Amino acid sequence: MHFPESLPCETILDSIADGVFTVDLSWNITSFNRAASQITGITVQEALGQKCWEVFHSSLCDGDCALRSCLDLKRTISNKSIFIIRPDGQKVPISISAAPLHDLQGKLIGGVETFRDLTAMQLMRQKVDGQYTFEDIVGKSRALSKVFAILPQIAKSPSTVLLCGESGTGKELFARAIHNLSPRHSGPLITVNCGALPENLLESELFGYKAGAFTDAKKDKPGRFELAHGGSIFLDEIGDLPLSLQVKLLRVLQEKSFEPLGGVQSISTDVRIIAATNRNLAQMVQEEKFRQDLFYRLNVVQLELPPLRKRPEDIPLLINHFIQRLNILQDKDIQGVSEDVLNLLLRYKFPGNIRELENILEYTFILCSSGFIQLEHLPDNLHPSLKAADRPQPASPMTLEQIKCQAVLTALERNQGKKMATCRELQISKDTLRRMLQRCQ
Amino acid sequence: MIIALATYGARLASLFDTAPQLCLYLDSGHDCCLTAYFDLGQSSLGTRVSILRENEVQALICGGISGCTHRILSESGIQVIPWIRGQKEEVLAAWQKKDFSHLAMPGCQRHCRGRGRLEKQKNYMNKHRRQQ
Repeated sequence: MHFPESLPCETILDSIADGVFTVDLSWNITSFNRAASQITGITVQEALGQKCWEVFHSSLCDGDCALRSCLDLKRTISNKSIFIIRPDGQKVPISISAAPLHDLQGKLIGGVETFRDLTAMQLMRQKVDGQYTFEDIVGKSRALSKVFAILPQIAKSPSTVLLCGESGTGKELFARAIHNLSPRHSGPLITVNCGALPENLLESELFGYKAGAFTDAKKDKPGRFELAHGGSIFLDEIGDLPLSLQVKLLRVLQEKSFEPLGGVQSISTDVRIIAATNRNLAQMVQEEKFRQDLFYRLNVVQLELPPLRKRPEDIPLLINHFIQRLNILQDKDIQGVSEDVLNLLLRYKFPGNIRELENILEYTFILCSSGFIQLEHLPDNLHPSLKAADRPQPASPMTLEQIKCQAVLTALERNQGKKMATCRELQISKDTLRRMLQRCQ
Repeated sequence: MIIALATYGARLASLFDTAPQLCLYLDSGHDCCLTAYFDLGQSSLGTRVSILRENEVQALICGGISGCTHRILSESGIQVIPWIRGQKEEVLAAWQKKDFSHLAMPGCQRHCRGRGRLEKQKNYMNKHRRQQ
């Protein structure tokens, strides 16, 4: 394709949503478009003239470089899915294409690589499949650090793990982390919610069935234990497991085998069990609602996940994380939460933990179209003082100017006289605030 | 003390998470001697962390590293010096001088020092506690 010399290449490349960069034969970056800068987190000035692997930080840079392959093999490479890591530690999934570059005489002068950010697609897939990963565990608190400190050792051992924590504390995320860090990471991780299914369905789900075992059993169906062979099985809400099934589970733990429904032969299993509960199993044992022998078999390694109220320093990080995710999923540009909202959320006890925080932010995204999330965007149960019936009504009709004055003065009072905080809340410049205050006085 | 370099041939690998080799050095104070070499291939994160812990590595010098990997290693007591580039010899020389400023990857200077947005969050939380 002939490209007219008069066309402004830089402007054209900067208008493309995909990252594009070129290298010379010494792998020095010779051009780097705006999208490349946005996706990698490296500015154009910082990138130009540097070795491509020192800027791109991709999973192929050390021994499997796509650019090197296409230059060596003299062919283009298209739509290869890899990841890069940004300087802030964020892993970004991308799809790359690469091609050799030749001058007008046909001499090889370097290569060009284009890449597309697949974060939005990955988030959509996560939302549909619920397949969140270790990277989704957000937090730097001491409470969480204690868990991280022992996670590799727990993962490496073959022992059964019992994850204890309130609802919404991320037990499934940690189960995935343990599986991914373990020697079984290349095997499957099968999840079963023991509280979600009735007893008769749960048994067939866990252990499978043979054809003819019951009326609708027309062919053999493998159970979750069989599907998890060589990998791990995550038994969520283990406290809801019926007593009859607790016996069968105990046998799996002791003898590493089970019989499917309607089966006569035992099937051996090589599965690592990770169980989770938000109930007090020790107390359930006392009340004879949970088998003591099973409890001791499950409780080989217990990991207590802290509730969100015990890690308030993680709240700003989690807010940032969820807002970024929601912005991508809903194609919005919410900047964050106002200081009022942050202060309120820091004081809130979050009985539903992280899941509740995520739901609150998802609710605010319905009411907040852009800028910062304000108090009025929050659910009423969080901020009852903002209910319409409680708001003071003016004694007489006000002009637009008077309404603006009242809004500015109220906001200033709410921010304890801090003008910059007032500007951020009202989304006006400091000059506009100064002029409005002059008019109001 | 034992230090580790995540490498690709003669240079530091671009990423720790996919680095093909791990070189362990004994820092006697005067110089650094190679004591072990691991061919990591496609090893998982768990394997990489295990190798570092089992060999009592106290510091890891590497290129890029994902946030969660950095966290796991730090919580294991390993000092992580990330976002460094260069040939093995110059990296070891920088380690002896405890100065990596000239070897920081482009655009990564503040992340080498372990600061950035999380430092801002900590500062915000400290300010919030003082106000309370």
